Amino acid sequence: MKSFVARRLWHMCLTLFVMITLMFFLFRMLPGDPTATVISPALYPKAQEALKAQFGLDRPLWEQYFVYLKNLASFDFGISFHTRRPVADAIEGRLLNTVLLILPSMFLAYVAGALLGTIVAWRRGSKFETALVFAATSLQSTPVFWLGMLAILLFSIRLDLFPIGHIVTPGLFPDNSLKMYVSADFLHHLALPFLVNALYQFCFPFLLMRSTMLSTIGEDYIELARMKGLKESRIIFGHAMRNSLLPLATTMPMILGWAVAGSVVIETVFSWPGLGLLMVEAVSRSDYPMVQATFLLIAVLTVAGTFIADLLYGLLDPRIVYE
Amino acid sequence: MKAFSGNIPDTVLNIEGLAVEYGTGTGPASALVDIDLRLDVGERVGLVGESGCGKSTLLKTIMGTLPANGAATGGTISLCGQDLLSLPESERRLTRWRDISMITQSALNALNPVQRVGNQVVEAILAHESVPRRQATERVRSLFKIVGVDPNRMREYPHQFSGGMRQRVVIAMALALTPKVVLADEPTTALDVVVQDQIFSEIRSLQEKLGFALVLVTHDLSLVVENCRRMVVMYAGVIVETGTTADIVKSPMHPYTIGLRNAVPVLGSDSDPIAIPGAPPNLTTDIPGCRFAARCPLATDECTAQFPPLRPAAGGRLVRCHKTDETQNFALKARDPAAWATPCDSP
Ligand SMILES: Nc1ncnc2c1ncn2[C@@H]1O[C@H](COP(=O)(O)OP(=O)(O)OP(=O)(O)O)[C@@H](O)[C@H]1O
Ligand SMILES: [Mg+2]
Repeated sequence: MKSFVARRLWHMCLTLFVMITLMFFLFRMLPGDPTATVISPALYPKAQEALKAQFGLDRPLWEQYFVYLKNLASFDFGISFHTRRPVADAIEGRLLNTVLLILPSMFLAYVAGALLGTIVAWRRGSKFETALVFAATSLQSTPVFWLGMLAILLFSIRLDLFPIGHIVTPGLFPDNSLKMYVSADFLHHLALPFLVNALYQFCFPFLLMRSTMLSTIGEDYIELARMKGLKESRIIFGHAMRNSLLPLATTMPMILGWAVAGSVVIETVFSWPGLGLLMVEAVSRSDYPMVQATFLLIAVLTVAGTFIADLLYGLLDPRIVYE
Repeated sequence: MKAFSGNIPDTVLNIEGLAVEYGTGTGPASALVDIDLRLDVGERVGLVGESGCGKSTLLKTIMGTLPANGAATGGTISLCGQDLLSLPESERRLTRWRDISMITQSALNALNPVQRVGNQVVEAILAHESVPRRQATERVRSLFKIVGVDPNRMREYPHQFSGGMRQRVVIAMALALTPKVVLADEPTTALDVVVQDQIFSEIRSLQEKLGFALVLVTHDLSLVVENCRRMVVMYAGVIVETGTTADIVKSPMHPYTIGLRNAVPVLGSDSDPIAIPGAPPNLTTDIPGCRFAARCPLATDECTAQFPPLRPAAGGRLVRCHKTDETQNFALKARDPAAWATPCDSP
């Protein structure tokens, strides 16, 4: 087990290293001169040279690369081209917003998906099942931005139940203090994007759980559990669901990486100042340090998620033995 | 006849006129028809018949765990005088395992892969008795000892057990509540002959010690001969012959039983086993007559038109055949494959 963790951690580092390297060179191979946004071509050539030297851009690429690596190691992601302030600060400010939106809605989606998937599979052939499966398959193939816009149109504009976007009413918390996260105003703003995201994320765990359950129910040990005279609830939740949870529980951490990447859409629709929106802004402003850092963060989340998934599998399934 | 059912003191399980249907895409399949079966206290009965004749269906009906598309459509199953089929599910659940337990056909997959084996037996006890968990665990320890599994391995998972050991765990589970009846559905098919023998002698000695009645389903006629005084032969969802094993094996009276006996290779005999030509009928079609008629060389118009009743014959035997007068004769020449040509085969 210990050596497994050590090996997987080492693999993780390798993966991330490759990713960092690829990203570094990829961005520098893009057409156009990204430095143009910082070092205006209108400046005197002498001044341009001086600025380039100051940023270290006069050095050969490989040297810049090592400097970049060294900075990364100390969590220094550079300075945003746009705000001229450290990238790390901007990310720090946005990360919490994304986490508060994505994590709870994912959690709700997975708990509800697992439960409803289980119940629906157990009551195979009911009208409830048909309706829910139809709804989930349709929802899953619906673009989430459209769903978001529809929700805004209906609940914010027509019914005027929820604010149209943003995280709090502008001007209400001028000092951006943490107090805003415990305010009713925040929850009011959170509700709609939270529900839309939860609804959208619900489909995958629900459908996966249902199909896994359907094959689990046919297993001999479920039949034996019935023969043993166990209570129905114990058979469903103790035996059938417990076994069907394996694929679900292990895809969840991986999904988490996607979900953060997917927050781009939902945050854009709801003007939610999270990581996703930061990424969109950064790309549209050619703010390369910011783009690089946000991409890196998503890569780290995904790789870490995969790692957690592997560990989780071993915890849930005694047949998996780590060597 | 119904008035007496259950009143006979030493009858533990009495099935009368049982019928079971499965709903299928092509209409209902009558998987069991007119099943009568009596099981005495502490008795061992063998149940044989080719694959698909409804042996597992019968056992599952007794357990009350037919799949959702299957249901008993008639008859009674009375356990010590109480009709199980008319019990509400909540009470039925409590009789399961406590009164009748089952060693399932595919015992290799019968254990939940993510639960410790010991707990799976403990769970069965706790579902029926309000004893402290510790006490139930203690009981499982001694059960494991009885069936020959090291009790210290209770905390392991099924995949850490060999097939034979898993089978023993399932047997321990079946005995956990000292039931009156144990149904064993091909308990050893997945095991090699040596382990199979061990398990059988174990089941047998446990049966003699604990005195439960045992229904043994198997394809292996020799296992029935060794272990069961009485046997039941099924074909396509009906019982075609029942009686003492010795009688039936010596002089089978139903043409199907004759064929079944001939299909078994006899060690040291120079005659090759011969199979009955043809296949069992499709159970979704309506078969008005004898279900074996299409494969039976003795079949006449009467056989295809009329469903034969289970008639008493010599030695307390019951045979479901219109032609019992002719079968003795037929049995003599049945070793010759030519004897199995059916009337419809000949031009
Ligand atoms: N769930 C089901 N739905 C429809 N038909 C079924 C179902 N289960 C069994 N049957 C049919 O019922 C008949 C009896 O099946 P059963 O499993 O009881 O046979 P069996 O005698 O136990 O066979 P085997 O020796 O192979 O275990 C078969 O024709 C089978 O196809
Ligand atoms: Mg079977």
